[in-house]
Amino acid sequence: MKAFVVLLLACRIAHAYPQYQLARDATCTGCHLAPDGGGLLNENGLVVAESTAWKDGDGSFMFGMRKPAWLSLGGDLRGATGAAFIGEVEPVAFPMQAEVAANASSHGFTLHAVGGLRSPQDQGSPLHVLWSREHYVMWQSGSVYLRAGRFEPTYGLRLAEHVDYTQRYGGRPLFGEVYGVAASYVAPSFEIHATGYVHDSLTGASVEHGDGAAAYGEVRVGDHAAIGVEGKISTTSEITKSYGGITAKLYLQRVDVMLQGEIEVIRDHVHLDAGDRVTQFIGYVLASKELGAGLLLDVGAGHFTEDTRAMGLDRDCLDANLHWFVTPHLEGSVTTRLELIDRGSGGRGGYALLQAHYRL
Amino acid sequence: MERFAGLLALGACISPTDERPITFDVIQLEILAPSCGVVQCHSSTTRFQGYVFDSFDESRRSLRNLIVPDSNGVFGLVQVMTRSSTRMPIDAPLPHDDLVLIESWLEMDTPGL
Repeated sequence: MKAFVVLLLACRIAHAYPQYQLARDATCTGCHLAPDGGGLLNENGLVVAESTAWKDGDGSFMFGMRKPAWLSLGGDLRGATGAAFIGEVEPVAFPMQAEVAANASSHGFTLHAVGGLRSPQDQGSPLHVLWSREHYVMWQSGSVYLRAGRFEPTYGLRLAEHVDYTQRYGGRPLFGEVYGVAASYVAPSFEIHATGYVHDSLTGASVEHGDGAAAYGEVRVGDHAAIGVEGKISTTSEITKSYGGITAKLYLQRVDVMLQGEIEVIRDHVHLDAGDRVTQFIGYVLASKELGAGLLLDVGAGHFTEDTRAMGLDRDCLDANLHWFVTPHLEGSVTTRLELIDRGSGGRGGYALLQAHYRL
Repeated sequence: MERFAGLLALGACISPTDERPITFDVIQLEILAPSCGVVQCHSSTTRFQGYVFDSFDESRRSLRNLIVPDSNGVFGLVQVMTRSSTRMPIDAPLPHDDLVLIESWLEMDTPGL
């Protein structure tokens, strides 16, 4: 009898659905309050959520709960179950996200915080599960945004699925939030983001252990295409990691398909011992199509070269995800992956998961 | 089990297409940190089952119990990465060449650790 594996891997957050960018709005700020997307929706974002869903309904927080106009509230509950194949096929189930978010805005200033639950610490305090993933103060004037606090540096495509190779192995990993200051300029024709940061030495609750900087710029080409450039550097006493890459987005209006792609090069320089240097390559492409009735189909393919000095380490994946926006608040999805190492001769794996997401 | 036995049989035979040095740096940077030290598993903050692999210093400490062979001569680190059920890492397959590199490193008495 196979063991039923319950993985206490809380808070696998998802960010946003950039599949809708260019097809509906030119920028992330068309739907989100944050300058680089993700998290709380603005008024237009709520309208999009309502119009996208299979069943009509009020998409606002708690179905229109009364609150002051200067306050935006939200939250996400997310979990998944299914089967994974690494050695054998095994059932898996895990919570992903349980968070609430708040934005208080006045005279161009915003106080923003996201708090909730995270994975418990082995033999740690029970209070460890409570944390704030994001908290920052932001000033906005027109297209200019300045932020200071804890947030994830803006870098790359910011796809919703954190397992996408450019997220999993690249410069914008899950739980990569840091303490930093950032400046963004977001306009319909282009956007640029620059962040300087230090790692979270207060809680240590970040996958980013280095201090450094990140930058991302994206230029729209016509109404339905965009290209971007990204760069990031992160350094600790042990290692310096340098990232660089390009992104591309193309909305094929005739067939209503959104294409997104990202290529990254990572250069690692270990400061210890012999000072090893490693070069890695990552690529990911995602095609998305709305099927009607609240359905969104994603098909993605990824490649990761773990180390250019070894030929048997190349990792490739084929992803297929079907999202069903049942109501403006409720989303179900099936996510599947087939993964091959060295084209299958060096190992293989995969998973099929059912996810449920409730947005407060 | 077949794969496990096969891996043991390979001993320290690194693939001719693998030019990586057999050092702790490579093991940590390319295998332990990205595959095991992810934040919701064996990270400094979660410390699942007491193991931490997201920094060089923490990995050194966590590896102490995993680099000692059992009575059958099997290293704990190899055992958890090759067993049939609940194989580590749980979310993605580990390349065969990485497993060979780890075993070679263990057989060479863990250089750089």
